Amino acid sequence: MSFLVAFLGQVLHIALLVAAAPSLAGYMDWLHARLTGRAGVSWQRPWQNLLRLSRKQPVLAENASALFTAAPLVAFAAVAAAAALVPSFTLGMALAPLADLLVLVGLLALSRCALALAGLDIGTALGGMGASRTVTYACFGEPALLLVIFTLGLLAGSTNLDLVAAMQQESHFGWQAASTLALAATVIVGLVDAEAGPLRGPQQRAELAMLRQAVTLEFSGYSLAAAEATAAFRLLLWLDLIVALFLPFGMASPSAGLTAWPLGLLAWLVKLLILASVLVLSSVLLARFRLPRVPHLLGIATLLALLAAAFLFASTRTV
Amino acid sequence: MSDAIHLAGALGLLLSVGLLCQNRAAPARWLCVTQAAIVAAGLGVQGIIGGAPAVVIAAVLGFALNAVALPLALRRGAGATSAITAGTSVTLVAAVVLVAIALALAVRLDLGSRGEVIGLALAIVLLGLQRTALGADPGFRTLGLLAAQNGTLLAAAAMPDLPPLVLLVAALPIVPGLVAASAWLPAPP
Repeated sequence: MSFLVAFLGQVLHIALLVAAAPSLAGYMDWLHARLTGRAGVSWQRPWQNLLRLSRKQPVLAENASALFTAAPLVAFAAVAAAAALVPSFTLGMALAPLADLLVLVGLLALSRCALALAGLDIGTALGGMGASRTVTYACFGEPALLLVIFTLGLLAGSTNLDLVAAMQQESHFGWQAASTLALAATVIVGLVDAEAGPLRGPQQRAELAMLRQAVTLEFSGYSLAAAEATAAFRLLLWLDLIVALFLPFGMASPSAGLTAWPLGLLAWLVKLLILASVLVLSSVLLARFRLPRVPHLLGIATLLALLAAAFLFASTRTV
Repeated sequence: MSDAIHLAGALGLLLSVGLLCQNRAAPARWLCVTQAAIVAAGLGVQGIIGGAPAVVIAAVLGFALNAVALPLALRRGAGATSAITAGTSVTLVAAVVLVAIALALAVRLDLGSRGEVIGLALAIVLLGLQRTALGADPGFRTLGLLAAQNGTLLAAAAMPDLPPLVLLVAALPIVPGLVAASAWLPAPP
């Protein structure tokens, strides 16, 4: 029975992700347009775009290999698998034993690597530049993320996401300095990885958007649909990860059963909408981060993660 | 020590790191205002939970002076921009060293759960002083001192058995106020 509930929870979680990822991107675009004095398109537009693109055959460059065709699908599969592992409204889903933070980092790296290879494969200048930037920024961001995982792993006694979320939910380590600094580092890495908030250019066309936009410039048809879906899932994954690791309030516990799910769903939706709105507000109110400053930002994330680990050691020595 | 004061300390430290990376006057001032408000809120919650009226009064005083009065005075008096004199990487590495020193000191003090708050507060003080050292104009130097003042207030609230009068004095931004006032005084001929 408990396996059935866990399986049902996993299926519902995946269905929610599929429904929420493009809708959230659409909501953010709509809110951004409204806040900047434009009417904005419907929140369903990403859905319409994905459906329209997925019906079209891709146009391939003459020198594109099979890698170029497979890369967007591999990237999407990796991000979707990672998103399926991050708990949203309930803990103890069927895939919970696999939901290790290191696995998530690996899947995100796989997705990034697949897109970077696709950018290099066709041999265009912009594709190569975008691939180079993507991988360079990953080199800056991943140490920070690994340090955060190290800190959370030490706090919770495991790198399993479900266990970390459960421990955080029960306030075993509360809002201590280490978890606050780790949250800040995770937010910075997530913002850069998902190109969200103040890092987002107007309509994803300028400067920093040249990371993903440059890599996916040659995609068309269903390949472009896969790349767009990857971006939407990546953003949702980061928001979900932040919610699960640092704000798991209201999440249904495995022992609570089906009765706690409606509350968990409501809490998840509210938190998601609040975080998405904050991201949009930050992109409207704050000056956009310029590309040369991104390594500095990731450097700050690494230092914050380092400080989180240091504070963890200090607090274990002082308490 | 409640979670609120730990959270206030951690957020204060984050804002201090942000202040070090900021080289424009208006955002830096807002960072200082936010830091002062967060520290005051943390102290207020701690005072209410712990039943310590002196801490609550210090929180109100700290908010009124550090988050409202002095930043407003700075806005009217010193709006010049400044640049970080060292590179961002060097500044941040130095900041980590300073935080490590603060932490080492806090561990040596052996004050239980207060140790972490004192470590955070010392780190905020040291980063504020670093900001002051890197400031190229009185406005930025005052902002650095104001950040250090927030750390001092946090440390005073975390210290065990501190007389209420000392806590209230710690809430007064005397040094940042003097530096801000010096910017208004006419330069000697």
